[in-house]
Amino acid sequence: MQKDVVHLAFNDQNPEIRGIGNLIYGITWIGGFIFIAGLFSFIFSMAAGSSSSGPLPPGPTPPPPAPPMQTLMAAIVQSYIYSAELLIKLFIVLVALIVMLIYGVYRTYKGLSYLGGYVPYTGIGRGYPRRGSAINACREHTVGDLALLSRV
Amino acid sequence: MLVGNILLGTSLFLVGSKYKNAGLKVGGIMTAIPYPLLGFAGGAPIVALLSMMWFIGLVVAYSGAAQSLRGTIEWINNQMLD
Repeated sequence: MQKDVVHLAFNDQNPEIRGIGNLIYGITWIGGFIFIAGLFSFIFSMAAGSSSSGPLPPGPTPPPPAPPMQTLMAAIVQSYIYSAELLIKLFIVLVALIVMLIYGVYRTYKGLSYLGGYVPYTGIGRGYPRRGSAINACREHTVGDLALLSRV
Repeated sequence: MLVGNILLGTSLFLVGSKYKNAGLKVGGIMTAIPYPLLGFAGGAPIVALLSMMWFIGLVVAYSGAAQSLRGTIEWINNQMLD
């Protein structure tokens, strides 16, 4: 029900409802970005902190392993393929995160613009007069679609 | 990201004060606090965990904004009935 209200509020005729709807949607996308980015950074920082490096502890050295069955060139190619797959996956996640952030900022900016009385790139609030004028008083009492729907 | 969250939190707080909505105000304040700077001495995992507090602030702001949206619709309905 709440999701329907937010989605319907995008195209509501009342600028206030439209603004709050866009603001809610933008907050949702930015919150999702922050959650995913924070989770990834936490996991990576824990993994980086747990990895140990340095000289081997003293003691008997293990016996040398059996000679590998594959050639050196095949091993290099395999490692390159593995790295490329990993990098492609990370790149896709990075692009998705950037798109999430840009979309969220765009929606939030649009919502704040509606609420502030200045609406770029749309027809509804262009040249929106300041508070107190007669036209503004009429527009402020514009009945939105959601208000009409909720009355039924 | 620090600056962006401060600006976003401030604007959410101002919207909340305009609509007299406590959820938006609290969410805005929680979003505007620079958490990673507070936990800088704790290391990278602490900073990452503390930055999740921004997410909690945005969730609080979301619930407040949804409440405000319902309140605005109800207010318009009352204006129509009058």
